[in-house]
Amino acid sequence: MKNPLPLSGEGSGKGANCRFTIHDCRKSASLEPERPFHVCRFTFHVTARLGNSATIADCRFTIADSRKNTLIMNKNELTKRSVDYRKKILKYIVGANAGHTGGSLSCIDILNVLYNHVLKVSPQTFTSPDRDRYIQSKGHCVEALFVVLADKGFFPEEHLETLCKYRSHYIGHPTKKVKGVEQNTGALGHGLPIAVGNAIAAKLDKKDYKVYTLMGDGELPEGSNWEAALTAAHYKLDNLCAIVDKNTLQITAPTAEVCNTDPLDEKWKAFGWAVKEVDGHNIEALKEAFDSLPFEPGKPSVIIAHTVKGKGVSFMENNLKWHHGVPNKEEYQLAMSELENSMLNAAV
Amino acid sequence: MANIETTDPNGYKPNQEIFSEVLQSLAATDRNIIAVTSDSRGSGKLVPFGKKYPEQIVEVGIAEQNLVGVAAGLAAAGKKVFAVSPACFLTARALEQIKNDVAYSDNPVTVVGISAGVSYGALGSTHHSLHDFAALRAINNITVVVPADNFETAQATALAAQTNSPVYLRFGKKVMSTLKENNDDAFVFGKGRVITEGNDAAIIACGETVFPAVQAAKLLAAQGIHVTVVSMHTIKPLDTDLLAKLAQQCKAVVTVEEHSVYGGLGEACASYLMQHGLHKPFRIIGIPDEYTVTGSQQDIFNHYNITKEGIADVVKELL
Repeated sequence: MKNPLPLSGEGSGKGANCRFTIHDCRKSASLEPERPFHVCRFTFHVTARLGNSATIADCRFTIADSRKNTLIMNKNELTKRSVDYRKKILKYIVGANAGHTGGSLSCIDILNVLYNHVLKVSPQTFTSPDRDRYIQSKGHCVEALFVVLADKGFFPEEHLETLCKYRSHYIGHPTKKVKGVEQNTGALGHGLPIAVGNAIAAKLDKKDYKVYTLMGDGELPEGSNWEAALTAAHYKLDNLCAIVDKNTLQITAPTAEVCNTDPLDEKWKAFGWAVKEVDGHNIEALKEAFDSLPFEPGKPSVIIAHTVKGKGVSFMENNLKWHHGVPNKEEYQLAMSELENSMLNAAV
Repeated sequence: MANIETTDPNGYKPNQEIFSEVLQSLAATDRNIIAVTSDSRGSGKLVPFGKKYPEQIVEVGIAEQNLVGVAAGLAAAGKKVFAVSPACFLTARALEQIKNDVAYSDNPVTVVGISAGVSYGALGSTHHSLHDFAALRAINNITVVVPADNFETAQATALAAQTNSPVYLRFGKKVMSTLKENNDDAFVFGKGRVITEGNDAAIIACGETVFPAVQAAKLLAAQGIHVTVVSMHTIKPLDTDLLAKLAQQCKAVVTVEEHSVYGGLGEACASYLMQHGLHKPFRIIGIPDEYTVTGSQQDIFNHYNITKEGIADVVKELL
């Protein structure tokens, strides 16, 4: 005890009353800094006391200003976190002997950036009317969402050992029985209309919160999406951001062969949306895109995230088999060792 | 019984109009009351509402799936939402949104099916909703309410606004007289209203068919047959206490509804009675499983014996 541990990183925030909190992952203890400090755009070096011999790698860095729960992490931290999330996704899919492996791996970097950089939401603020809303329209990739929610402290991670088991709330699609889930989803084409309703409510209430929804490219032929896209533009919902996880594969075949939605950017533009395309696995590019919302004042924004189904595990990448394939023992070990290696690379 | 046989009930209005008036009075004091419409504010009698409270009406265009999804999102953000659209489209095209986004996600939306049943008459089956009770009865976590007269409609609308769970409200276009002289009985979802009393038979009806049922009771009374008529305004949860009591004290039970004979009020009652050993002569009056005859709502009612004579004949047949 009492070994001051210097921590460093970079980030941004507003106001004079920002708080810096260190969570020791091993104990989930939360320690306040020794004194308040001012935050604007900055590089920080802070000394805080940790209750045990934690190393930097064991710590989560969060900066929360007293108003908004802004959450900021450094680049390396997020990259390592993506690898860790991927390992956990596979672990719990193997445990459940079910899950949407490929899609969870394609969207996990987006979820990582959302929950660790963008969304103003936490277990403590989840019932606040001012929280940001995230609705996962591609509900089948629930494993990615559950792993991130557990990491953010919405529920103990060991709950995921019950995934898809008898009477578990942790089932194959998001439900509000799980803390952190905004809406029950699973049938495709439902997230965007609900998000539009949330965003209209925010405008009516003159609230600042933002609404995000993650869609798969395979679900875009659902007509309800385009009904909602029209409404979003009609009501000038620049507090709304849709993200398309464009991994280009769906259960039957490549999306372009099942029902081609390209050129996708032009479709969204024609519906009155402001569009940005990013590499959906590039943490910095994702951060930059989210940081520049809304892309145009008075318009809803869509991020078309170009992703790879099964990303992070070589033999799963771009392979239809892994839409909802569950790895066997050997495949699991191989996947985990690949991910361990990328963790080492991320740490460099 | 006042005004029961009035064919031109001066002073009475279509239930849809009453709904709109009550919604306006609620909106006057509660900014969270929101009507969501799908180019349906005219038929929903919501034009005055929209003029008076332009910030409290959300128009999504002719897009029922979106209507219900947006309504769910508004409700999730704390709004008291009435999603208004013709029942035929609302409960068919947007059934999955009602099932998932409203009922399963437990977003307290009042889904309002207007011009229901065969209200649209000669516009044909595309515009009829004869399936909505059946579809919604099979969906968990939604209360299904079919008010009969203006009083029930006003009460149901106000109650729906206070209810923090999904509700389906369903009514038609016809001018509806009042069923009872004194509307001093408490209106509660899940508790049927007894309109006339008698122990020979029970007629359990809902919505716009309660009227011919009450008229049938009058016809029968003139012939010495005394029947209880119930406005069973809540199809789910069904008032099984009242149903069981009536089945025990009456010699026959007849149900009447502006809905398919499959899966509606009649089958809900039959199921309960059968499973609880209450075996009385029983008949369901409704729209049979066939291409619905063409014509006005009244033509269709007449064709399928949803009339005072038709209902009275069935009662006599069972006794």
